[in-house]
Amino acid sequence: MIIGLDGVPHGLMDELAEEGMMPNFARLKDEGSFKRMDSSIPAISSTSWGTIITGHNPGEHGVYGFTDVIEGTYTLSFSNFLSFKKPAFWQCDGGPHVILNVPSTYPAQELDGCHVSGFVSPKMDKAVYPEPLLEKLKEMDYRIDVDADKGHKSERLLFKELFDTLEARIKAYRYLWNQFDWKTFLLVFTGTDRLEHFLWNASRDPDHDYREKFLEFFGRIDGELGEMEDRLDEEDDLIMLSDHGMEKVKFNVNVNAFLREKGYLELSDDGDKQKYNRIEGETKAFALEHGRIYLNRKSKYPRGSVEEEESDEIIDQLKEDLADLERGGEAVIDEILTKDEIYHGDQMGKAPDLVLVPNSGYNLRGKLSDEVFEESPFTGMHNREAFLYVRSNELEVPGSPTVEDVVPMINASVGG
Amino acid sequence: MGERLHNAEKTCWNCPAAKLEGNVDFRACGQSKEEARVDSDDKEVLIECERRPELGHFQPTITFEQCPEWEEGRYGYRLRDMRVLILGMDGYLGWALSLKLANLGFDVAGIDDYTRRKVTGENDSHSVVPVYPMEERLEAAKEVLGVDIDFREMDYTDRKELKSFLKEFKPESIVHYAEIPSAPYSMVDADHSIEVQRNNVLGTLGLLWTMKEVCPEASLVKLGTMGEYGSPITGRPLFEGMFPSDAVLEWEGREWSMGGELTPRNPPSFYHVSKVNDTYNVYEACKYWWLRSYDIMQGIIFGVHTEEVSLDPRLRTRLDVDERFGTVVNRFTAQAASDIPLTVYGKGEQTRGFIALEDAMQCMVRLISSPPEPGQYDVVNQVSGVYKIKELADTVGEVGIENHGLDVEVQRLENPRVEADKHPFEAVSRKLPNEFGFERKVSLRREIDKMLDLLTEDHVRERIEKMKHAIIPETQWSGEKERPDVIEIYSPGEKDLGIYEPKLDTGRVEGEEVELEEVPEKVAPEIEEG
Repeated sequence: MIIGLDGVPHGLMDELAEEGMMPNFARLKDEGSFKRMDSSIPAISSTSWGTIITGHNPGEHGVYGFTDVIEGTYTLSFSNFLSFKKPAFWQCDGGPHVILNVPSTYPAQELDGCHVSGFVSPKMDKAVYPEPLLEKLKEMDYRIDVDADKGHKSERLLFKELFDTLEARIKAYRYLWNQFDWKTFLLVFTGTDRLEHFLWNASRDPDHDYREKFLEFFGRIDGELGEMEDRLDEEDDLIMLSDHGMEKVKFNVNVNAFLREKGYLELSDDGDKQKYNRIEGETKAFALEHGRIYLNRKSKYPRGSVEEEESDEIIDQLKEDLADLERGGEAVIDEILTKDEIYHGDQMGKAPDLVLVPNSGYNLRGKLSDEVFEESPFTGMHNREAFLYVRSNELEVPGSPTVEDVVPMINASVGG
Repeated sequence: MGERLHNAEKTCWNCPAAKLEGNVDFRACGQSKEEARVDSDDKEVLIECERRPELGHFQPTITFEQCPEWEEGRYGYRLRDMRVLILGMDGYLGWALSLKLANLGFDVAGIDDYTRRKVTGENDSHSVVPVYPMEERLEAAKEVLGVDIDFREMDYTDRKELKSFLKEFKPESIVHYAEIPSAPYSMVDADHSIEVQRNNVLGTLGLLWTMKEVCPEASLVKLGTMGEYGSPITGRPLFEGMFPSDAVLEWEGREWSMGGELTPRNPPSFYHVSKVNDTYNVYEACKYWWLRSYDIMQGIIFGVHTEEVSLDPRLRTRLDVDERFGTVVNRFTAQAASDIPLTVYGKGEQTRGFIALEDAMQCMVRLISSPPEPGQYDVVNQVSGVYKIKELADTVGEVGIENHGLDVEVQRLENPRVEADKHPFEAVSRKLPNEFGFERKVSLRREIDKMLDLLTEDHVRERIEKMKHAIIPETQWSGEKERPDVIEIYSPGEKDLGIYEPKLDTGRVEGEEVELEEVPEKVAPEIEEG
């Protein structure tokens, strides 16, 4: 059984266990191996879950973020299940598998078992396999995700959404538990990520107005962990993990505004042009969300101007300039990595030329804005501090696990 | 084609193949919502493409220039095999357009219930240019142009049938030419008046509901009329449907912006009223249901020539010149060809916008090729020239006399209509030339000349002779059926044209006149008895 808690950092799980807020997990912690796990680079759900479920790095599965640019255009496409160039583990061997709420697995595909996609899933009826399951889920008032608009309106509405969605998720997993004689059951709770984005501060500040409610949410999940544990047998393997961690946001950083300031990015102000179509021919580089920088290569883009011979020089220049990006004396960027340093595989053609790893609190965004620094409506942003918990009689856990190590463990578990 | 095509920068937003899937907020890991378009920097709209499902979900920002489904064409980028449905395909405009579109590579279908053929029979009139039964027309189109057009005999107000056809054909654009377009017809009596409004207004309302259900991504390219606006005695310019953003209303020292509001309408007949009512229905439907529409305020249409209809007598489009369905330039030309003094009403200083058939067809192709965005209702004034009626009579007379040796006179009749017959006139028509790349090709005099060539042929003269009785007006706006008295008869060019100088504002600088091309001559084979 694999339980995912989207976006929950190792540190927070540890705290909640130690402080008695998650007693079931505290007990499980003692019975198994609980470690920090490195998320993907960038630490974003689509890329990270993609690596978790395929066992391959983005250079092989081809998904480097939530978005990518469509060939021959400046248009962003949004990654979904069909974007992955490597199969998920449940597509590689028999099963049955019950796959419930894994992000970036929309639309649901045929498999031996059942599959309900997690966010981003625009249409419920394409998010459920097999089809008859859809009616049953609707009866439970199942929903894929919280309504973000409501979340923005008030904390009260946010918690209503979070708890309602959580309860429906729990009803669904309980129903599915007995429907199949499953080999693997993968259940992901995504409300944790939503809650942490909106109210990370509530986890840090003991006097926060919503600290109690925050803890109640995790407590509810912990209650269900106990229930799930009871359903498992001695010889069943239990894996719990997150895809990335969370930390406090200081600022949103619009990297494109910085690139524009430094002359790398030229945008048209012609009203007819929308979004990245504003990119003019003189542009040398532009950014997508989560610190990905792409050179405006002649070979790739309609108004591309960067020749192959120039690219190394521009990359060096970018590295220098980005190292200067600072706020109040503090550097915004911690590391600047080239694609070859972090990725490998046959999907390298789509890889960003540079990936920026920010210092704590600087949330790197792809917006085409004039302002480099902006306040965020959220208090939590991603980091690479995921966790991995394993309780097993047989499985070996790597010393410093990364998200690439999960599939080998799953294969060992079901194979063995 | 050296210049950039006018719709190169249009995007998926304008394309009927784009299916709205909702939107996603990326500020915190992609929270998605099924909702119509949102205008926020932080939210991205997701679409899927019906024609390119392999792209998955993406932003609606691929340009026509970048998209392999949009191909370069003579009138801009064109959606490959774009499915266009013409309501009223058997008519004067409908038939001509169906041939032009099919010849350009569009996938054309059409419906008609032959209302025009039937109602012209009411006063024993008929098309003075012989037109063939639809079956033969379609065969000829296949033979001469190599095109297949899917035609169904159908009343567009029969919602059940229409819905069924829409489901089958899945149009990406619907051209609405299925209204009864006659002012005098709508003024004959209560039955005619009510029939016009039933067919036009309620028919269109039904069409909108059906589009919403079956093909909400199709654009509605609807024929309206410049007549909706009326002719304000103040000389206020006739803007394109809505006030421009810098228009201001001032009253008692206070000011309000009028930008974006629908301009006042002053329709001069119950037919014109039906078009105004349509405008409101279409406007609302776009607002409630995110439908997309161009409302075309077309000037008075004239001419019988397009590249396609001139190729073969079986491809000719109809020409009505009776008092109900004939339009003024066509009527004058037929009158000149058949020794009837040209019928000017009242002072004859009524000023209107006009457009030739071939130019109108060019406009339509450009509009169809550059669809509006979801929820967008836009209005274009489809006009290429502005003239006073008296001036037109003089022009037709001069061409008839000089080029064809005809004996042409002009008669002023007591006006059977209720309208200003002397007024200032300024029409704005900037969108077609500036946003859609329209360039006027047809000169008024040249088209009149070519029409006279055709109308003075023996067999056509005979056809005019047979319906001559229906040429002189007898439909009075008062409800009486009576031929108006003749005020005076004179020779063309003899009378002065009055004080007001009509203006057409195309947004082009003075003196930047476009060279008019001749509509290419095709030698038509011997025309047989139709």
